[in-house]
Amino acid sequence: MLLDISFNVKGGFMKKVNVFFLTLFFAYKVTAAQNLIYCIEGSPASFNPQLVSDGVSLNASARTIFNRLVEFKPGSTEIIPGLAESWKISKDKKTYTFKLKKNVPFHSNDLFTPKRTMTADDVIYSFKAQMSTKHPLSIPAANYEYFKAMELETLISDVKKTDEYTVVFELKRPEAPFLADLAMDFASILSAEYAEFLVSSGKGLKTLETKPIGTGPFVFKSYQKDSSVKYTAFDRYFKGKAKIDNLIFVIVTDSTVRSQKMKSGECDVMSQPDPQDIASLSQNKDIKVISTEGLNIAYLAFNTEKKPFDNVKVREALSLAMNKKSYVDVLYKSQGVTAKNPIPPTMWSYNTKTAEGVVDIVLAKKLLAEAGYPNGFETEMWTLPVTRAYLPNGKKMGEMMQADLAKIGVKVKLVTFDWPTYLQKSKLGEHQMIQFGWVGDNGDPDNFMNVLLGCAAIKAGSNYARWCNKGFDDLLQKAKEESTQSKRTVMYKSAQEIFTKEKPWFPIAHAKQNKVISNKVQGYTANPFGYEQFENVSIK
Amino acid sequence: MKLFGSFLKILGYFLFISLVSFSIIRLIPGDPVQNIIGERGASEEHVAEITKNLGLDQPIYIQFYKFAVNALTGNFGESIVTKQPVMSDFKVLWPATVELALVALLWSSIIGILLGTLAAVKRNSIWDYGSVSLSTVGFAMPLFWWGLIVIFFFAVKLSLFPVSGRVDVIYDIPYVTGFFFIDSLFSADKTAFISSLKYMVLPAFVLGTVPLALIVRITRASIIDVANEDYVRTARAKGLPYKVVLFKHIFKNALPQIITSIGLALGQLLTGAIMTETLFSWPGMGRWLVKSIEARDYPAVQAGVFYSMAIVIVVNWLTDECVKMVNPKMRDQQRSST
Amino acid sequence: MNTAVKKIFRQKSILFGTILFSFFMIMLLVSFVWIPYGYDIIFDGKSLVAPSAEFFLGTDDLGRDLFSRLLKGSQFSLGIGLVVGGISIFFGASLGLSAAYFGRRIDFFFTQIMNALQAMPSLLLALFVVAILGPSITNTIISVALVSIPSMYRLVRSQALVEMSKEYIQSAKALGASDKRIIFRHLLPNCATAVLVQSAVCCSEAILNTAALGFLGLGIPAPYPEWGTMLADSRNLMESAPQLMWIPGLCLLLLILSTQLLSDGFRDQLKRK
Repeated sequence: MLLDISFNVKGGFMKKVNVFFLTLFFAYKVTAAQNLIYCIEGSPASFNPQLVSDGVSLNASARTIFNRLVEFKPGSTEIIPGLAESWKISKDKKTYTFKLKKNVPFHSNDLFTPKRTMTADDVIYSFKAQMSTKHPLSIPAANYEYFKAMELETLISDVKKTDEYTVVFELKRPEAPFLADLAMDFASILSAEYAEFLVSSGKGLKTLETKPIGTGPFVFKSYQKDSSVKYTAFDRYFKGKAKIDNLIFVIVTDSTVRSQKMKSGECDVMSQPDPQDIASLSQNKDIKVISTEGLNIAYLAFNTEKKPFDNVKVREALSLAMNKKSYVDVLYKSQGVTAKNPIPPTMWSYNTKTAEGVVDIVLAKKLLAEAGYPNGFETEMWTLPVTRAYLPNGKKMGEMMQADLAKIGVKVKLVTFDWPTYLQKSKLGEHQMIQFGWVGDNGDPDNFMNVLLGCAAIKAGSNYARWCNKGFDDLLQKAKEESTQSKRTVMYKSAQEIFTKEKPWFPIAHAKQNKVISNKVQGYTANPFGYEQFENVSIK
Repeated sequence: MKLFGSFLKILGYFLFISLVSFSIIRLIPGDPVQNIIGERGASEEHVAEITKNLGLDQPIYIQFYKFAVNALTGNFGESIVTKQPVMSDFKVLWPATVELALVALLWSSIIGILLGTLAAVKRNSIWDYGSVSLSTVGFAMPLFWWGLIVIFFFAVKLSLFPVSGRVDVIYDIPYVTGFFFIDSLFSADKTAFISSLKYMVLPAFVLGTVPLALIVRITRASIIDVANEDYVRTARAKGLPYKVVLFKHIFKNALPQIITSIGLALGQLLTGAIMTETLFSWPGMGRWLVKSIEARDYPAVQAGVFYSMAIVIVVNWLTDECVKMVNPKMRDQQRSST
Repeated sequence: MNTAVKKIFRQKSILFGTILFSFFMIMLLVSFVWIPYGYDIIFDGKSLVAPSAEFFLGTDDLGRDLFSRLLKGSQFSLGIGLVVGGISIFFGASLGLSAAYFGRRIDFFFTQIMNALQAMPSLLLALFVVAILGPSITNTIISVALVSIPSMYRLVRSQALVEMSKEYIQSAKALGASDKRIIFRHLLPNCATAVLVQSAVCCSEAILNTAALGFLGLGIPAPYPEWGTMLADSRNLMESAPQLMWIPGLCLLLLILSTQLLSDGFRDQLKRK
């Protein structure tokens, strides 16, 4: 009661103050419009989709502000036209010709108003800037890491136009996943005109990271670090104006707090719910939980460069001792399935015939004795220090594994560092056993097996098992250059058999992706890659 | 000569602070490059390129020299995470922390002095026992646990206040001073001010708990001390009404101690902000510093450590001076705010 | 019971503090000889069991007995508190006494080091130290002790300085007593009560800081059940299994409370003398 009175008093005072200030300041009100509040787990690193690789930044830039030549159909991995109307692929699979849509407008902001709509020049600029840092509009000292990671630098020989609305990509070799690569976030089309303006006006290309301009459904309005990102619907969006007026990303790092805010109605959609919270969230009558299969895997890698993990019998013994099913039951709840292959079951070429992991303590002890460790040994396990989409709680996972391995006499010391340290030390191969995981980029098996288990990936640092198997690697390289999917499937399937026999990893689980949305939100589709798109969403 | 001495002293402090803030983050294994690369692999050239772009390929003494020289002019470089000058992030962050700390201090001093006085005046009554037990428990309270309980009951169960944040996101608060209580008045929607009040309640309540306990305790003790002085007894003997004695004699003489206790509380508030801001996702300096350490955002951590050390040194010095003047016994009434 | 002891216990804070503290001390001692199920034993399929005859306080989300973990946890929370109390007595007192006794350069040198340690917010310093050294039991103790040594040092130093100015020290010096004798026979005993009070403060600070580090994810490494870590691990279970959060939190609160009651009580005793 006391509080109420004081609010009223303030309210009266406020009226006068406001009338006074309104005349002085221009500010606008957003309450009456349709707002969608999306609660995310971290701050975007940058709003230039060419420069970022984390999910938060990509959602905040590529999927809201920008479009790509081709795009993934909402809710599937199928490729549909985006800014390109149609495309042709040459016989030798080395030339891709795209016809662009006409009259696609770019956004404008307080610095810049575009004079023309999107043309082939914008497409060429978007790729050439990433191909060579010598390009005049390439951001000085920028790191186009995703572009490089997908090896496009060495794949594309040239990008050129034949007229204002036709772009031709010349490749050095045939590459099966190329079209899917072009649908990825880093391939977003930026405005060449804006970039030229930033250079000529002296604002600098760094402005692209803080004041982005794209063709997408939402116009970037403001960003306050660790607090919120605000967008408004783009009224001249080429696919038609979005149904919501304001899109607001609220940054809430703690997953428990995000769930609480979801329950109290402060969020309409939330990212990365903790599996432990799913039960109580789905009991709430105002909240809907949508589960879809995710393109990811969590695994425990054995460092095969180190004793005793160089011995396949030891790896097999440890795998036999760990009860995968109980880990998934306890930590993922119903939000994950046990894994046996290095790729998720929804991906093509998944081998259903490889052996399932079983628990057999007796056999495990026997194998250990054969390997020369009848009484087990002491070792370390590194537990994932952060919550990732593929593994909700590395520490608890480690505690369960530790208890299981103790049954065969393997004494495990749990070790962890904070995230950057963890990454650095593990890339140098300092670990013995380590928890890691992966979320797919483009739906191609190569993007799992080659990146995580290829011989070249040891040097690059992403092969945490540091495992190089000639037969396995040969299959992957051959499959990569092959363009017939059925032939690739055969090769990937036999690669998975080698994997299952050699056990460089103990594959743990494929996490489902949970999207938690309020019942007010309509027209929402969950995407297999895990990103969010709000252009078709409305609020009841 | 004396001036030269104090100049040297300040220079020494500056060098010390900048050395610590420069080196402490570099002593932690793992660097910003790793954070940028994440789970995926990277070739040596790629790593070298990012390192170069961040300016981390230069010899360490050159990096330090550049940092120290720029710090003198208040330029802490550009944050690796936000790509903005650290000082422009600061401009938004520090008012958030100061606003929270001030509100926490305000309510805890008012209630603290009130309860402390009441306890001292009505000694051995239920008021006294109540206040003393409250302050004893409050002083021992682990803030993170307390915060969780408060959020659970008042935000999740009863939905009286929002769970976290600084103001409802639908409002556009123009940047004028950075203090939302002031800036929200400039927002077109007058309900923005009420919203910012609502968001303040829980964090300020939690952050003010330990200072409240401290202030109750010291107020009570100092009033009892003063009440036993001879001149107060004389005043009472003269037959002056109790109220007059209380305000004219006792309170006036106990005030310096009480004010010093508030100073002590302020020092704790600024550090206690780390935990409270983390719990309530309050976009202030404490939470930002913890996040920047996690991301190895060298320029941001350097600036954050530099400033927090400077603040602690100044606050410690000021409180020490006050304590010396008022009552040397109070020095041990401290608690770290975690 | 003799009358002096009776007098001490007449003061309520000491009485309550002693009762509470002995409760936790008993818990600590019991944990070394008997823990019902073992703190890291996982009962498959028995996660989040409510308190029952089998599991006195129920089980946690992995299926481990909460009571066993709580008992074991006292070794970390209270144990670290006691160890850090001891460390800060040792370093704080020895450095403080020598600074006061030898004065000049030694005093200046130690005081500057202590000032430097206190120049950073305590939690931040502890965070940095753990991050640099890597999380482990020893490193937690080091980081928490670094935070509490300076306060002990300052207190001992100032107390010793007061004693130094008194006549009996001057006369002892004049009589040619050795440095060792003056420090251990005269200075130390006269500072002992102050040290005792401050060590209780250090102990409670250490318990708080250890728990705070655990809560921020940089505490004692898994699977050891430190109370702050237990609390942090069960945050998201607040609705489904609230006892997982209430009980460790309450234990922490009461333990800190007991050490503070004791230090308050002893401080009052000091004042009265």
